[in-house]
Amino acid sequence: MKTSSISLRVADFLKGHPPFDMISEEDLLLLAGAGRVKFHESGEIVYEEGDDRGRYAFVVQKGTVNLFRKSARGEDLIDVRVEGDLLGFLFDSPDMPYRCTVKTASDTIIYAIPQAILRELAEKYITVGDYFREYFGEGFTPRRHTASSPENARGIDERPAHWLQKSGPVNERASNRLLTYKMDEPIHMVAKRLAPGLQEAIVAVDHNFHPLGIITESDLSARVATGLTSVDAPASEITSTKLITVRPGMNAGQLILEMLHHRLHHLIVTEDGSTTSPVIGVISDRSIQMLHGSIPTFLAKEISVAEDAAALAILRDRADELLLHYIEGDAQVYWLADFISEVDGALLQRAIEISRRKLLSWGWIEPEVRWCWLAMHSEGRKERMLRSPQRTAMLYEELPEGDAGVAAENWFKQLANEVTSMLAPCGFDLDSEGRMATNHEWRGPLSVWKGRFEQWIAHPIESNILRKTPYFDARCVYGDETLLDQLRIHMQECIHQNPNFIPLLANDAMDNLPPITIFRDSVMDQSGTLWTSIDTKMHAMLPLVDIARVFALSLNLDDTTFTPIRFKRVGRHLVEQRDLFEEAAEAFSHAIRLQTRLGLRRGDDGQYVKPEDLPRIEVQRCKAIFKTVVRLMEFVSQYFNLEGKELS
Amino acid sequence: MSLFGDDDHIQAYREVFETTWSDDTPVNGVRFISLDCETTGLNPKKDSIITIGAVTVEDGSIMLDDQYEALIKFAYNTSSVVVHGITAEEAAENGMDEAEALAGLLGYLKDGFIVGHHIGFDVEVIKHACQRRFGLDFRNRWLDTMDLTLHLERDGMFDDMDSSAPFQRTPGASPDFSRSRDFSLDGLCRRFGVEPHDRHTAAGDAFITAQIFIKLLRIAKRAGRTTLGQISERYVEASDDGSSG
Repeated sequence: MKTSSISLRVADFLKGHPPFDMISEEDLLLLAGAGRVKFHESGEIVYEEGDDRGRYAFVVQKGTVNLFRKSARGEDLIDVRVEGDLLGFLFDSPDMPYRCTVKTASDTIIYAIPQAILRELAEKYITVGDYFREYFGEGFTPRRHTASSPENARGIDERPAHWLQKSGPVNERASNRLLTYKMDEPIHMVAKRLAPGLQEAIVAVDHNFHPLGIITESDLSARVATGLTSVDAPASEITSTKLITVRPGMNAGQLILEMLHHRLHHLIVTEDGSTTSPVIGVISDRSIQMLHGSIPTFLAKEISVAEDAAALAILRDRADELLLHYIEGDAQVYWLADFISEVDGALLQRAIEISRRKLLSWGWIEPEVRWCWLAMHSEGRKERMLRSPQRTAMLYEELPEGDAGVAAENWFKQLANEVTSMLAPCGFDLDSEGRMATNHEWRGPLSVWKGRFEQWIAHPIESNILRKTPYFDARCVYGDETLLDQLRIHMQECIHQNPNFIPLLANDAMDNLPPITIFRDSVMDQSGTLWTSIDTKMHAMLPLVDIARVFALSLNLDDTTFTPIRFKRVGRHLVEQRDLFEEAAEAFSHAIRLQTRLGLRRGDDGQYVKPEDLPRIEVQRCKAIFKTVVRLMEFVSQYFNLEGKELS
Repeated sequence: MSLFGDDDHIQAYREVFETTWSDDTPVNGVRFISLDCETTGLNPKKDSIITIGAVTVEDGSIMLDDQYEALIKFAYNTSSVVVHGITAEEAAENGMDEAEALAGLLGYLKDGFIVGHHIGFDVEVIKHACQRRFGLDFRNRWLDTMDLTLHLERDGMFDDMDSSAPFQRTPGASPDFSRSRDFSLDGLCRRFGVEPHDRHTAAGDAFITAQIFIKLLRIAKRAGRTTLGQISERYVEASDDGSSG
């Protein structure tokens, strides 16, 4: 009789734990049948740091083991592993000696399984290989299919992980249904071509087939069917010449972001994506909707015509529903960040438009100076996935002297009040510490802002810089961006003149050490204290955000953006540490995805989660994130020469 | 295979005992076989084997790549079917002939030192079957995990209720070990925190016993029992005059 009940029993146990749950029973039986069962009494050493890696990897069947690593202080506890956890396996470097000592903390039964077979299975099952790469490699390494993550969601991305990232069908649709016209053709001829209903838009082209404009079905209804323009008039009269062109090969997700960004329903596809190359197609949100459903372009349109805060609030709620839908569907986190910042950008723009109109109707005169509205904090970094209190600022040109200046200042104050009070019902509460443009401390002309940053950078301790760091993450979300550019240049000059500032900021970024490990239902912090919850914000996101900011400021990466993109850019400057920064980008992406999913599901800020409420693989992922944070902190300590900053 | 089994296997089996373990052999060097049989009844002379499950224990580890399992055809159902759950019809369909199963077992066992709970009965059944089928003397030595447990108890290895007592450190183990005298396989599972999966199947019981055995070996080592003779000693209850066996 070939079937072995004993191997089946071991395979059954393994099947309950990742990555063995991704392996077929037949293969698990082979793996189990080649193994050993070992028993260790409490306090015994399973293997020692520096020993040659043996033939077997180990899975704890029952009991608890502690992992120690030698340090200047002796031995540091670096992890605790329990039932179902894997030990002694390093995927990237199978021949590297053991990197830690494993000692049993209780009587422990361990399954020893051959490393060679595990490796074969990692080749056979892509998901198992990915799992090993992520958690049993040198650090938090990107999964294979995310290795070529684009710099942002509008970049090149050929991965078919999700419909948002699928491009094939969208492309075909674009090229199969292309209709064109000449600008001097009469409207009725053009309308006739559109009439069969195969396409909702027709593109005007020149003799080189380069795009000149577009007519949509709605243009025909709005301009011709209403009698505003004659059907015999040349098509040029109703042609929209605001041309947004895209290159071929963009996936649905990228196209949706373009449409959201430009508040358009149609994009013209040209050979090289520019307006000076031949047209090859036209793609509409309706086509994408037909292919995939649940696309968000309607939001931009609806937001742009909403008349009050109540209407905006409903649309913003809808955006969260879509966000949860996309996040559960495993959409790329870069795309999600861009999506939600586009929605919030449209919302803010509409709130400002309505408020300006209101002020005008009340007789307020709008000052004739350039100004901009700044998003700070997580929104500044384009990573406010969950709605949180407003952190805003206003920056304007120097105001005129005398009454005109006072009137202008009053107008800005009133506008800030109006906009802020419109955003509040949309789920963006008022900041409890008043860090909003309504407060004169967070509003002002360029010279005043320059003075503020000068003070913060020159006297960081007196200025309590820890509370000001989110103000180094400013992003212009409305108005004249050049004002912020000027402020940034000044900020960099100040940083250059105060060489102590960056190390101090780096030092502060190290204040939130992640826990040592998570096991069973406990989270163990650096002092060995056990906690019941993982703090996604303090343990993972905040240290990563702070470190990314320090490097961005230190290397003068003068734009404020999504933390993973900051890490990727840092990696391009510090090439020797590129892998570490790629790892940090992935770690942050996972942390924000976890926090957002928790927050949207539970309707809270997603900050705390009990380990027992997470799937095993998610707990593994959190542990890997913590490890990456510690590795990053070790590098920060060394790079900025932070003496006396000791990490476990 | 001949009517009396595979001659090569039988011959090899006989030869392997020319040099085998002595009582002085250190425990670490012995090939133990944790074994269990399910039978049609409790009379070793009359009843026959239905299933055999066995797994090797060497140097304190259970060797999952060295195990044996057999389902054997048998004539008719008896009341034991309620314990092991295998019917004669099922065995007729999926099982092998007794001779083939025994030859396979002998080829696997070689001179392995058999370990089991109340193993004396199982050994008796196999012995009779081998005699009946092959005219062969079944020569494997054996030890009873129950005897070993009782010896260790008498050695005082379970008296200590402080934190160094082995059963207390074992997650899931019963804290009442030293007060309890339940030495059944289920009782030992509770005492040593071993999950009693697949109880009353030959392979399941062999695996459970192997897990208990590797724990007993550690305790035996601490009790100074490091040779085969010291761990395989039969246990005799102390008589009224205080002598022991």
